[in-house]
Amino acid sequence: MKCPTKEKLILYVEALISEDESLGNEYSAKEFENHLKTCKTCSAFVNSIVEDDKILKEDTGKLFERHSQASAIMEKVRGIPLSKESHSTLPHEFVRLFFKWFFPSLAIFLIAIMSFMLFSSKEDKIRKTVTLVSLRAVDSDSYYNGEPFLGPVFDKVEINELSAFDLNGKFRMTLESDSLSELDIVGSMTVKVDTNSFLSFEGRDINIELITGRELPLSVNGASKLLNKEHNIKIELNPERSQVSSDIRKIDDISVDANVKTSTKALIPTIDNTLPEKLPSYKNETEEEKEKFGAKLKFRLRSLPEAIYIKPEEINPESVDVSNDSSYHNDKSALTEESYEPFDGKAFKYKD
Amino acid sequence: MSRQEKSDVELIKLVLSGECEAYSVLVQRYEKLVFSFLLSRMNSIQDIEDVVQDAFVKAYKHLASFDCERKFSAWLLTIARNIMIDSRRKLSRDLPSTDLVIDILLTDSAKEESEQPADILIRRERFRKILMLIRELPEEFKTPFLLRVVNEMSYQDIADSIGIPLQTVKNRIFKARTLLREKREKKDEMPN
Repeated sequence: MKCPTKEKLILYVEALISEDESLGNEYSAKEFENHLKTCKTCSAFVNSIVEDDKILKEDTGKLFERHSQASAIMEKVRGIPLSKESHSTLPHEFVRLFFKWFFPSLAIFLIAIMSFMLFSSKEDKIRKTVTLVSLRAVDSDSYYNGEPFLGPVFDKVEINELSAFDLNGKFRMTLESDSLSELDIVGSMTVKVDTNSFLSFEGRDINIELITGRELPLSVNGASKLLNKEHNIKIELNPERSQVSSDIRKIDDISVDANVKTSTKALIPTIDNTLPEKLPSYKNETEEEKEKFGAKLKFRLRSLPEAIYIKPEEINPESVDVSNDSSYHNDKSALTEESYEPFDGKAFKYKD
Repeated sequence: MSRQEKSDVELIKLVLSGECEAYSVLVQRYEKLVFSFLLSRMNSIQDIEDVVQDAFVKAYKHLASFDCERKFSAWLLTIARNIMIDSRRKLSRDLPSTDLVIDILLTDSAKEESEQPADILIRRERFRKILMLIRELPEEFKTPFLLRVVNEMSYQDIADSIGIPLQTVKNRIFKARTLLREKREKKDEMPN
């Protein structure tokens, strides 16, 4: 046996102190003992450790005996009244466990509730409330399940009847619930409706924009997204509160979100350069006149809508006429291109 | 069952029920533990005595709040450590260990009667050197090593007493021994 390293000799010493507490030395105690009998260097090293331990133990013991404070401690504590606090392991344990687990449990519970509210409520709401879906191809180069489409693809289909479909091009989707939401969808993708009526989009170059209505939770390529409305121009058809955002300088498209007073449904017609003869969600409520680019656009509403949203896109209407049966009219000259730079908030002021 | 045979928790319950003398068993059981813990950390034997007393008295006063799920020894060492830190702060006595050296030199050697005076002096000097080397060890190595050597505790008891895993105790003791050897060899090599 070669001389073990000092580390192994230390392990041997430790094992000697208590044989059943081996520290995993690769040599047996017997092998060490035989080696130590013949090797003076290793023997001296081990003996030095053992001797140091012995001196440390015995002399500390002696020092301790000389300086033991046991009597003084007991004299002191005899005069000390103990705390009146009753010592019972059960209540103490209960209190300890209560404080150990109650607050973490409460925190986890609250986080779970908040997470549920945060991540589930909107989805659940849309799942519960979206009932009808309309889809329209707004570009002549649009394909639905591989077939070219222009105009309505389907109209007010129960969401539960939809499964998966492929879109390629530019589409507008209308989701009807207690209110209406309208999305512009551009790109090539597969749209799926899961068992909870939750819409998911998978594909390349997906561009989805909320045109009107409230924000929507969607799944895009596996990631949850909350779709928000941006850069809409909102015109409230209340003469007293008529106002226009002026941050969009060019009107390319017009969409109208009209909450008709006689109905709980909101109606969102869309007008663009491929304006259909009849707008699917609006055909029974409006009449439109369309001329070529720059022509006059006219809506006739059966009742006064609460708001109109205008979103620029690709056409430039010379003017828009919004009216209803109550004979409210906007200024026909208001929507000229010039009037949008800057947009005049008085443009849609009603007249009797 | 005599008091000596009772567990720490049983003794604490006795003390709290009014049997003050049951506390003396806990003092006997753990005074050396606290003493050796402080010996490797404090310079004055008088300060060590004070801290030992204060630690046991403080533990007695707060016995009702002791969590029976903990080890009494670990709780006591925590109290002693806190008192030691406070006393160092207040007295600023962390000075060279003159008092301790004197105490060591006055200590009766275990083999005093059978050994020659020169041997006794050599042994005392060796004890002092060992103690000084231990004081240079990192804090976390000191207690397991002293509990192992001075108090002859098993690894498991050390782990329970200071609340660290068993394997950590083994590693720290091994590391303490290795460091002590290295330090000793270095000092032996240094010219006087």
